Amino acid sequence: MSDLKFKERSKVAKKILSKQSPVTLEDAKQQVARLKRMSSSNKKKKSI
Amino acid sequence: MPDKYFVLKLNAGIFYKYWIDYFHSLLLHNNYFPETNYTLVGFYKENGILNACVKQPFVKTNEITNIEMVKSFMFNNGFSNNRFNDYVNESKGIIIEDLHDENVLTKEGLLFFVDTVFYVKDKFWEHQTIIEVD
Repeated sequence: MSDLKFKERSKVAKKILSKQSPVTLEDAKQQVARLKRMSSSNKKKKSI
Repeated sequence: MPDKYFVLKLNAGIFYKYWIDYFHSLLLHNNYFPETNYTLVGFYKENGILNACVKQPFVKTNEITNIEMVKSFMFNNGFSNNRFNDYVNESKGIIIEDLHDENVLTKEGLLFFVDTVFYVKDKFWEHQTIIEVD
């Protein structure tokens, strides 16, 4: 992955996203909460 | 695509001095990361604070992002890690900040940049009329 150029990465990313199933609001909320919980970074810009 | 594939985001522009800087950031994001492009839907005012409302494809994932992979990808694309999760390409005059593991997701082993904060330096305006993405 790290060897890819921006354009190459985008091409692969579009293909992956085109196969993605629809998301529900509940799924999205759960994902955001999960990512927050699992995040190892403590250096983030703080929004309001 | 129907809305069940998208997420709506509000942005009060607090990371920018002027709204135009935020719009430049959106354009740069769309240029570098077109699969998670932002579409400006409109504006929303709440409690006296003006927010831009943007729509973006939602990236569904269960994977954890390895921040070293982000560093390596950015490095291989001409950006150096100048502090924390911030990157700069001095020759292009472009800064991309806040690339931490909630803003860069991983799906099927590939990085997806879903929340970026772009800034441009004076250098950016010197030679570029068209943004070239490698």
